[in-house]
Amino acid sequence: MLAMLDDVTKVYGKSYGLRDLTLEIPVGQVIGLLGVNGSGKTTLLKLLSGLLLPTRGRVSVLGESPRRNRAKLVFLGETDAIYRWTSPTDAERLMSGLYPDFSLQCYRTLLDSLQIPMRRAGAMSKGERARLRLAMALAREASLYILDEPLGGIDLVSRERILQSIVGQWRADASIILSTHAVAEAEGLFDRVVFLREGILALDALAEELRERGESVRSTFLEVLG
Amino acid sequence: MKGLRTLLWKEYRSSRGWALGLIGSLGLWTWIVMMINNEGIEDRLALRSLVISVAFAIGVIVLSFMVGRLHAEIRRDEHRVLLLAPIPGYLHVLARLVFALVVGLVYAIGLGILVWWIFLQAGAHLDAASIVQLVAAFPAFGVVTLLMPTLAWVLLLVLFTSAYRLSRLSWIAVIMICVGTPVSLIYRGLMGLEHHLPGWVVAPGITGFFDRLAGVPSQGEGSGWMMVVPGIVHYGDILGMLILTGLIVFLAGRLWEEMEG
Repeated sequence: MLAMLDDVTKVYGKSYGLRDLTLEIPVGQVIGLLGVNGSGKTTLLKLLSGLLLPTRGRVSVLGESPRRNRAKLVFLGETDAIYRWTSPTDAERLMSGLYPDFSLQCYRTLLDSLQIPMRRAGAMSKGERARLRLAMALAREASLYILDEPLGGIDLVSRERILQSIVGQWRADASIILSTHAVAEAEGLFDRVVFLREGILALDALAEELRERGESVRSTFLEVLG
Repeated sequence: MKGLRTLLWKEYRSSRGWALGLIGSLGLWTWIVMMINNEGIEDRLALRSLVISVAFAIGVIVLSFMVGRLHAEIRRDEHRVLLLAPIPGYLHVLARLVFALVVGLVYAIGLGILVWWIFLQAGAHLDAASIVQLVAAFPAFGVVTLLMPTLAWVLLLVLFTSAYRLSRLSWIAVIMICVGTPVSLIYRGLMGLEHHLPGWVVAPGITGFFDRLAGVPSQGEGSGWMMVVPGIVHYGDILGMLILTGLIVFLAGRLWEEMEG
């Protein structure tokens, strides 16, 4: 098993971010993490990446705490967070110095395919910055890719490029967890979908099974969470 | 080492505006010192020593704010690319500290050269050992004993407020830095502090130089007299501050490891 959440609860003050959640993530899956705003998606992804610590329960990646296995994880947060002075060249130097699994060749291919302009991030549009951040993340050869809303607030053309890059970078020895509200656009990527509602697991199903029942991920989303 | 080199480069990229601004301000201090042309040598030296002391204090404050900007990086989540990197937490703290200390050292040496110029203008001739004391040993001593523990302390406070989600209370850290120092000076006085906080030996040290110069016979200016700057480097103070800073960096590194993002 690549990663596991075992009866995990996360409490923020008096409210629950996640409640008694158990989830297993095997190698080689693309998992869609779906839910309405405030359902606990970001909390779950941050727990998996080690950015948050559980209030109760245990989170493990390759048998150890996520923080001990940071080298095997990629986390792409939903916020537009990147140093404004970072140009694609700066990002290359920063990532290759900090992450031993960063692939220069892969990064340069991604810069090209995502059509990222060679200027500093502060002078880029939000979509261009999102593409740069994605290139920085996907150019790593990690075991688990955790992508939180990589399509949020991005124009249609950029979204298409981002989805194509995610498909293009997928490897059989790694897994991707993708949180998104663009269910219809991304559903073709998913091997499995996990629905969260108010911090509780509402449904965990293989996408293929849904299709065999004549249901789409989008229609299931509306049925389960609507 | 590659990680530390990259973090130092990152500090240079993100803070070079602050660094160049501070070093560039040496031009302003030089101009102000040159503009002080009082008739009496004692007045002139008193005013010039005040300018040097103010310049040194402002340097400490500017560099404190420069390293304290980590708080803004954390608030904007920009630090995640660093937080998730498989690099020990203390290296992140060390990189910020080392870059700021290098900038501080260049600035302090610039002030040391300015003091030397003031002495030359007053007609003092310094031997080679005294010049080395003035423009190298004295600034380095100030950086190690005063600037280094102060900046390490700022980093520890910023990481403490961030790690425990006390961001709304970060003003406490700022007030402690900005108000704490003058308050402690008023309470204990410079000479009192000299014996309690080794770093502050720098400030009375500067004053002492000018006092000594002001006390020279009135034929001093322009007539060429010999002045010897005594060694003020106390190795015990340096060792103490290195141990203290090492401890603070270790604690700040642990906080970096514990911090949620």
